[in-house]
Amino acid sequence: MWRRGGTSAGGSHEAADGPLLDVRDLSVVYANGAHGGNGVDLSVRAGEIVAVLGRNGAGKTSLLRGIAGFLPSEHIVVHGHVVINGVDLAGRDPMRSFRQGIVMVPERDKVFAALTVVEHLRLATRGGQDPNSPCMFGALDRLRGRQAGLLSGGERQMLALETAFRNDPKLLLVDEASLGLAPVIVKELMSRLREIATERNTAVIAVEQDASAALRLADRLYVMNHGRVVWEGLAQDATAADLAAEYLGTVR
Amino acid sequence: MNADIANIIGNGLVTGCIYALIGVGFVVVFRATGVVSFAQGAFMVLGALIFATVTRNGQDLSVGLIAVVLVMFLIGGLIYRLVFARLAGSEVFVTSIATVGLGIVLQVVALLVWGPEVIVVPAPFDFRSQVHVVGALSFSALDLFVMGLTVVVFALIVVGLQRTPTGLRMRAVANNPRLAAYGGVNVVRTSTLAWGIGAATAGLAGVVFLLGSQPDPVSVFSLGLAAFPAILLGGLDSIPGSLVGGILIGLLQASVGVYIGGAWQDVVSYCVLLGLLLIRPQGILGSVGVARL
Amino acid sequence: MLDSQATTSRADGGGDASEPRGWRMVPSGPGLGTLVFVAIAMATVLAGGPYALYTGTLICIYAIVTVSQEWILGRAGLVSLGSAAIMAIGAYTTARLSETSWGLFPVPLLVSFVFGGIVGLLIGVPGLRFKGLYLMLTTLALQFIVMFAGQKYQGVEHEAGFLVTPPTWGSLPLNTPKALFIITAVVLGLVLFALSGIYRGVPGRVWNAMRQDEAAASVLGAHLVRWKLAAFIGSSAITAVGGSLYAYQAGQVSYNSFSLELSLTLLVMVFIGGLGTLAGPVIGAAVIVLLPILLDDLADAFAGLPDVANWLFINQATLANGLYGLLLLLVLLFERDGIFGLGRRLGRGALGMGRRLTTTRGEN
Repeated sequence: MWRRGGTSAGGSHEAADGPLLDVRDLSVVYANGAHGGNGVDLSVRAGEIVAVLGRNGAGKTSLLRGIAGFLPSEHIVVHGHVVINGVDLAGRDPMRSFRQGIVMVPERDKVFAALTVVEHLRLATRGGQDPNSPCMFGALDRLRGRQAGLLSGGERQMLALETAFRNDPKLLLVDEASLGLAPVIVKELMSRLREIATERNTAVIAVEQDASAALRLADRLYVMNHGRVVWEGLAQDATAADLAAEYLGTVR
Repeated sequence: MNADIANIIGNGLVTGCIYALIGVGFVVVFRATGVVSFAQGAFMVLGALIFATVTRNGQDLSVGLIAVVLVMFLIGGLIYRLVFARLAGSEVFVTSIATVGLGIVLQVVALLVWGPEVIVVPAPFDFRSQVHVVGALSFSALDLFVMGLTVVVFALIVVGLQRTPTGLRMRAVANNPRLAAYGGVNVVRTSTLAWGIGAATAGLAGVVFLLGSQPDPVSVFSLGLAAFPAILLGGLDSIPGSLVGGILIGLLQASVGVYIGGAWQDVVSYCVLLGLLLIRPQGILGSVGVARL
Repeated sequence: MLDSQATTSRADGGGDASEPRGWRMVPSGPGLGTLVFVAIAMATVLAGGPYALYTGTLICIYAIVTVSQEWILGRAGLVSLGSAAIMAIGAYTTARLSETSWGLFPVPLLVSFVFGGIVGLLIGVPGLRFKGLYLMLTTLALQFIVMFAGQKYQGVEHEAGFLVTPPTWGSLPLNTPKALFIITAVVLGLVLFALSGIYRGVPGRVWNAMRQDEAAASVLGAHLVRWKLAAFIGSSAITAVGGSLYAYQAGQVSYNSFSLELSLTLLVMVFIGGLGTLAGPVIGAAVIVLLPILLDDLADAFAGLPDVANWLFINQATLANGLYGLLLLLVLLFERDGIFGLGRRLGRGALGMGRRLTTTRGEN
């Protein structure tokens, strides 16, 4: 059994087991010249659950996308390093990241609106799981025939996570899972996400604006502002009020 | 049954099938890569000429058709890799203008290699023998062949898309390429496949047109453009729509041919296109999102 | 005043380091070099024979149309496949007016301008409500409908087309090659002058913003459809003027001169020359008009090899066509700014190298 959030407080990367993912000095330049992320450093150990907090425009989504890769057609330039299993993925396409075990659940358009739930499950074959096997998110079982475009926000999020887990990721990237969902659903979703990730020993980087959702989910937290990491530490060391103050920039 | 009506149904269905074959390739390409292809006509020319070359050398119909499908599939895939994979992510007007340029280049290559003369092929079977259906309605063997081929092509595409893993991946890419890539789908390979299918079906449309009317390359090319009203009527992103739109426009043109005059056929279908843009720009079966944005 | 200068300098300096993929606005005030170049080109054509004058006139006519097409393509991001049809509107208007009391030059030109604008409005209203590709389809329909209507309008009586009564001012004939060249060159100059004014003003900045980010532009309060429509109407009006001049030069107007092929060729000219500048489409028009002449010379160069020369001669038109298509693809794939952009970049490179050389020398 691995330990959660034990030794690497304060981001010491010399932990005996070494990080699964190591992001160094990552910056992303979009086709229109906009920058996302401005030298981000971050690391995640196998099976560790990390949340990244920050306001809009802090560079959180760019960080996730920089790890997950960009389509060549997006004409996006990536600087810095994204190393997983000794392979540098910076500036590579999503297929490359997928092969290294990275799966991303984006914030918007996280499901294929035109495909049914069961077709999503059929598409996610890497885990070798039978598409007809019961879902980890049980609520999906009675929705198998429904088109994803007709699902509610919470159901879409579950389907996206279910599909992602069925691709057997080593590292799951989740962008703003709580956005637009009722607090009670967020609470449930976060607990379930943590349960499944723990069960399957999947590392997670979840980008969040909702500090309490992040605290519920993560072992360790990063706070970003202006494209940089401004604070990192164990979830147990931080309170929601601290974090809010931190990333709203009212302190310091 | 009235002879005029029989005539309209007969001609309309056959013309409609040709439009449907042109249209289905267009739709497959549009869905997978978002490219509005004006090159379908050029693919038709190549298909017709490849078929002519093969059958003139004594091969029979089936060999000709297989050769067209295979060669056009390779050409379509190659063109995607060489041109449109590099242009992916550009504005629609850039990619569609690129298809215009591509169409011109392919047409010129065809003219330089094969010459501008009327394309002649030996009749692969007894075209003219009539099969009586009902009342005054009868189909020639060629008509039945055209309709049969169209049904087979649509059946293969629909079943392929709905029932196979590759088809599922193609639909995923058509729906959201970035998400498909996050999920490990090889977007470039899937799009290459779509272009191959688009070119192959257009090639078959060229063959069908060639068998019916012994045209010259330039008029084959123009027919590719004449299919746009049908494609838009059915819906730019709907595969069943390409069949429905093709047949409706085919029937409309056939009625215009009977009651008004052959010269009015194309202009009437373009008027339908204009009217459609005002009333229902997404077409009969297209999705609304295609029109908006 | 101050404002337009600010825009100019920003556009000037903006594109060096992190040039985004796409087109930039470029300040379009003519420099001394441009003026000298234009003067030399004019003098060369005027000193040349009737063929040079004919070619020069044709380039000016096409340039009028391509510059107006660049307006919608490069500024508003819209493609029209019906520019030849709108030229036809101008040409028919001119042919029919030339024999009436309204035929006094330049009345037909002005009427064509108005008619072109009206057609632009009629086509733009349905075509611009949706994504850009719908304008493409609408104009494709326009192209076919105008061709058909033209054919019907000519009927059997005018099967070869309507004759254009040559324009005169009193006893001064305006249809001599020299007079026509001067007229078309002046009209082109006026069009360029008017457009450069528009582009440098507020409308130019709105279109520029729209091209870069439609959503952002609409948030800033730009009514997208209205601005696109304005560009389309203006460009159609100018295109019809091009058609009117075409009628004067050809002396006869028939529908088959204004086929879809011409529309496509005009588009090719715009793209090959380069979007985002006024000079680009003019250069594109010149290149495409001169290309067949170059192929002609090429055929002459192979006179020693009769087979090759013969093949070149027979396939000349087809080859020219293929070259347009190929050039278009190459431009789209490798040099989005077209020939003009390529030239400017090479020029800038040479300048930079020269500067480096002089600096090194200075240090020594």
